[in-house]
Amino acid sequence: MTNVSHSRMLRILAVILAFMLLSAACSGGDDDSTVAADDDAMAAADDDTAAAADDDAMAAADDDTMADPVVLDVLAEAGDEATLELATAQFTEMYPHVSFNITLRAFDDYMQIAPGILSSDDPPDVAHGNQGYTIDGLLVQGGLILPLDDYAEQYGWVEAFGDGTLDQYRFTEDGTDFGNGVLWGINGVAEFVGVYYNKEKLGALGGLPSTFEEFDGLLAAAKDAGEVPIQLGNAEGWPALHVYGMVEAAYRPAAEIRDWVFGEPGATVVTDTERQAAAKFEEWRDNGYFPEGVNGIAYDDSVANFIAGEGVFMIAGNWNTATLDEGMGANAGYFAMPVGPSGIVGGTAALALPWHITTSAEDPDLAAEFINLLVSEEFADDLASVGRVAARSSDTEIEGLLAEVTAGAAAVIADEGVTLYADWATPTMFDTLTAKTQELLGGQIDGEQFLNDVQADWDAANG
Amino acid sequence: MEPSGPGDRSPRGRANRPPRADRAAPRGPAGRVQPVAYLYLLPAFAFFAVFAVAPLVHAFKLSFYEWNGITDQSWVGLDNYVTVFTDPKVRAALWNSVILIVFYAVLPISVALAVVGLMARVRIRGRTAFRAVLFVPTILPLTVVAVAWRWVYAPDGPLNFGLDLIGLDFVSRAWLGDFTFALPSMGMVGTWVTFGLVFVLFAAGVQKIPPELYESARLDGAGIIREFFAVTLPELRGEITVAMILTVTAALRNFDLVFVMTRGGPGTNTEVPSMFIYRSVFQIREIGLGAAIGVILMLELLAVNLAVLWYRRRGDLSA
Repeated sequence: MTNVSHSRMLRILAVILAFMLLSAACSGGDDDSTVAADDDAMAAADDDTAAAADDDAMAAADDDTMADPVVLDVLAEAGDEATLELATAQFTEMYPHVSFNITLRAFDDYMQIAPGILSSDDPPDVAHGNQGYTIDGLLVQGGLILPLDDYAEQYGWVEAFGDGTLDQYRFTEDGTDFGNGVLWGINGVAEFVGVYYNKEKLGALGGLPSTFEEFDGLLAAAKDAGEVPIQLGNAEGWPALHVYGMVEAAYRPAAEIRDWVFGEPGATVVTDTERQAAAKFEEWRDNGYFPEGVNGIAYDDSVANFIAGEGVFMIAGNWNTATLDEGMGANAGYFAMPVGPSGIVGGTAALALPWHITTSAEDPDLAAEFINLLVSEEFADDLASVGRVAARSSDTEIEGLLAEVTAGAAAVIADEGVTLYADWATPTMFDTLTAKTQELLGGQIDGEQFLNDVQADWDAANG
Repeated sequence: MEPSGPGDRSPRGRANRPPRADRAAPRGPAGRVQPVAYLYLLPAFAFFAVFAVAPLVHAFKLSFYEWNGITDQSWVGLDNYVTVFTDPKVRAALWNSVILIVFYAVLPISVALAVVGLMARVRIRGRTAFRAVLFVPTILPLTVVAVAWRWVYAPDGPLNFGLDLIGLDFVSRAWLGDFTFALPSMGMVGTWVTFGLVFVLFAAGVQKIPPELYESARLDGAGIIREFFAVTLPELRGEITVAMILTVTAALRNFDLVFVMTRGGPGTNTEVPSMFIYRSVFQIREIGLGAAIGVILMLELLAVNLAVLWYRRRGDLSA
C-alpha cells in the first residue's frame, strides 16, 4: 500500500547517496579545477608577507641599484619556512629590487597538490619537488621544470657535492629513467638516518661502538640490563624501513643499493649480503630489541618515548635533532652506523627535496641565483642555525648534538656510503615497503619473504 | 523528528495519510502532470547535474584511460578494471569492507533493536538525555573520532590501562598494530559512531507504533520476546531499511577512520577500497586506476543497497 511509494523514495535516496559518494571519491581526478581553486585560496591565505614588506623597506633605502621590481614566487614544503626566511632576507640584501611571495604547505599536502599547481595557469617560479618517479618524474614528463646542467656548471655544484651525490636529482629528458641524464633540481641539506643514543644509558653499558659488531653487542647488553635497546614506533610503516636501511648498509656495498634504487638492469635485493642483513634484522626482532607493540606505536610517540628515557638507541633521521636537543639537552648523542662487513660507513641518506625552476619562471637566471644561495657554502652556517645539516662542509663552529650529527653525515659522505631512500625505486615501493616492514616486525613474514616481496614490486616496474 | 504527543497516537498515522504522490505533483484536468511542473525541478536538478552527475560521468570516462594528471591521457580500454580484479590486495580490501559492514551495520542495528524492544516495556528515566549522549558520536567529525580512538587504543592508552588495572594485562596489546585485532578494533569505532544514529531512529519509530497494538498483544498473552517479534520488529521495518542503507554506505565508503588510525596497516590488514583510490590518485598518480576502483566501489554500494531495498519491498508486498 503506502509502503510501496515509501520504498520508492528510499530507493531514490539510496541512488542519490551512492552518486554523492562516488563524486566525492573521484573528485580527486578532476585536478584542473580543484587545484586551481586551492592555489588561489593559498595565495590569499598566505601569511608569509612579512618578508615582502621588509624587502620594500630595503629597496627604498637602496635606491641607486634599483632595477625594475621583481617578485619571485616560491612554493615550498613547510619544513623550510625558517630556511627561506633567512635566505630571502640575504637575497634581497644583494638584490634590493627582488621581493618574494612564499607559499608553504605541509609535506603530505604538498606532494598531493604540487604537480597540479605547477601545471596550472599560475605556477610559481621556484618550487620543491621530490626525488623519484611520482613527483620529479612527473614534472619532467610534463615539461614543467627546467634543466639545471648549465647552472650547475656555472656555479660549480657538481664539484661541490660530488657527481654521484646529485644523481638523485637526475632524470633522462623523457622523465622515465631515474638517476641518469639531466640534472633537474638541487638542495644542499643532508637528510641522513643515523643512531641517536641516550648518553647516560650507553655510558652504563660501555663506550661508543667502533664497528657494527660492537653495536650489535651493545644491543644485547642493553636488553640484559632491562632496557629497550632500540626505540621505534612503526605505526606508519616507514620508520622501521630506516632501521632496516642501516642494517642493510652495514652488510651490503652502498653502490649496489644505489643501483637498485635507480632501477639499473638486473639489480636485486635477493643477494647473499642482503640476506645476512635481513637475517640480522629478524634476529633483533626475535631478541626483543624493539619495544613491545612496535607496529602500534606512532613515530612521534616513539620520539617522545626516547626523550622520556625509554630506549638506549633510536635509529632515525637527522631531522629529529632539534626536537631531541630541546628534550634531552646534553644527554642526547648521535653517530653514523659504525662500519660493518660492507667495509664502509653507510646508510639510508639523501639530500633534501630538490629545488626546481619552473618552465614558466619569468627570470630563470635570477631563480638560479637564489637557488645557488640556498646551496652555497656561505649559507651552510645559516642552515646550521635553523637546525639543518648542510651537505657541504662548513667552517661554522657548531656545538652540541648538531655537531655530532654533522660529523656523522660527513663520515658517510667521505665513504660514499649514501644509499638513498629505498621507496624511490618504484611508484608503488613506498606502499610495499611500509606494509612489508610491518609484516616483518609483526612476525607475519621472515627476512627471506620480505626480500622476495620487495623484489617482486621492483621486477613488476623494471622487468 | 515529528512531535508525538499522546493525541496523534491513536489513529494509525502513517497508514491513514493520503498517498504522497497525490500531493506532490499538481495535476491538470486530465490527471496528467503539467509540463510546467518540471520547471520547478530544474534548479535542484541543475545543482545535482553539475556537482554529482558530471563528476560521475567524468570519473567513469577516466577509468578507461591511463593518466598521471599532467601529461596526455591515453585510452587503455578495460585495463584498469583488469588490474583491479587481478590485484589480490584490492580483493582483500573489498573483503575487509564487507567485514566492516558487520561492525557498522549489523552490530549496531541488532543492539539498538534489543534496547528499543526493552524500552517498549520498561520506562527509562532521562531517556532524552540518554538519547542525546548516544547521538553525539554521529555528529562528531570522523577525523576527530579517529584521533581520539587512536589514543584510546595506543599501547599506553586508557584501554590498556583499564585492562591492566583489573588484572587483564595479558589481554592488553597495541590494538591498532596487532595483525588479529586491528580490523575489529577499528570496526568497533564504527559501531560506536553509527549506534547513536540507529538508536535514535528506532526510538523515534517505536513512539509512532500505536499503543493499541502492544495492548492487544499483551491481552493475547504475548511476553516481551513475542511482543518484540510480533509488534516492534515489523513496525520498524521502514526505519531498519533506512538504518541499513546509511550504515552500510558508511561502512563501504570508510576512509577517514582508516587514514587517520592505521593507513591500512599493519601490513595490509585494514586496507579498504577508498584507501586505494587515495593512493592511486595522489601517491602513484594512476588516476584512471583510482577512477576504476571508484566505479567498482559505487557499483558494490548500489548492489548492496538495492538488495536491502528489494528485500524490504518484497516483505511489504507479502505482508
